[in-house]
Amino acid sequence: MKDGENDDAKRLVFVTVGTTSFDALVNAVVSDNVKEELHKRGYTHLLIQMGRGIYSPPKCDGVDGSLAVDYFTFSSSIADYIQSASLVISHAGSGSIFETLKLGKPLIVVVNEDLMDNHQCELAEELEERKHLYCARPHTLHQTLTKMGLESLVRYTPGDGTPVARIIDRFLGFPDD
Amino acid sequence: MMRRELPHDDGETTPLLHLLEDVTSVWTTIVAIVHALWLMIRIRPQVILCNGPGTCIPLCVIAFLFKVLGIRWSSIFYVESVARVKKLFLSGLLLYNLRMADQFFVQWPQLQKNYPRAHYVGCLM
Repeated sequence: MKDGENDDAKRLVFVTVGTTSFDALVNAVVSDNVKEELHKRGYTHLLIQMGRGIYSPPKCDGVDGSLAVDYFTFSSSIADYIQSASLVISHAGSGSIFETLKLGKPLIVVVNEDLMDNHQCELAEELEERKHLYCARPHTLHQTLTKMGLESLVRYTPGDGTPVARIIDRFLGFPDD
Repeated sequence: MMRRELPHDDGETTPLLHLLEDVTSVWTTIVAIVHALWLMIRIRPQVILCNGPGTCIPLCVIAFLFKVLGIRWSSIFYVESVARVKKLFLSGLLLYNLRMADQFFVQWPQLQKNYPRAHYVGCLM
């Protein structure tokens, strides 16, 4: 980024695969039609956290007006990246999903079809039914991007552990407050 | 507590490697149970609070056996992972069906329908 560049004009798409290896998602996200769709929707930067993946996408500085592309493998915390993003595209790990939802960011969850036990998609599909996010597969990501209406997403309300504590306290014989 | 690593299936293992993996699994399970026993006696927890991964099973089994033998040190509370919407984790299934947990919590209504002895507490995240 150049000095003096207007940060308000930057619209970042942050892609995260957590601690997994998810080359299919990284490939999908840097494919021409996906990048074109993101560019059309006004996104300027694409940052990919690629985890243990093998495929390294080509970087691009975006000076010619195209989507700027960058990547890294891991970070101790991705909260800052999520916070500065206008759109998050994530693997279906529950940690990444809820970290993004709690920060109130629009989210597309991409399910990894190569995983053997795919209970992950249960959570993504349930949250999609409740309109908290969009759910896709690597080969349907472009389609989801063309059809999505981010304004129709419902903000997620964080949960509360008090009911669990109350039931446990009651079981152990502590008086109710 | 010591964690028993599950063998990975990369499609390349031979029968000998499978056997070696099974033997290592049995050994690490024994080590985990012995470690759990040592922790129980040393700490005597009044409350064991656990969730999805199978790492909790050795400790819960030991605590449950103690209860069966009349040593009622620990109450066991299991909270199923938020990632489990329609089906329980294997550890949850064990604790629910064998009635090892004193109280069992689920975070999605579909699970409460299938496991009526569980408390539905909503999404905790």
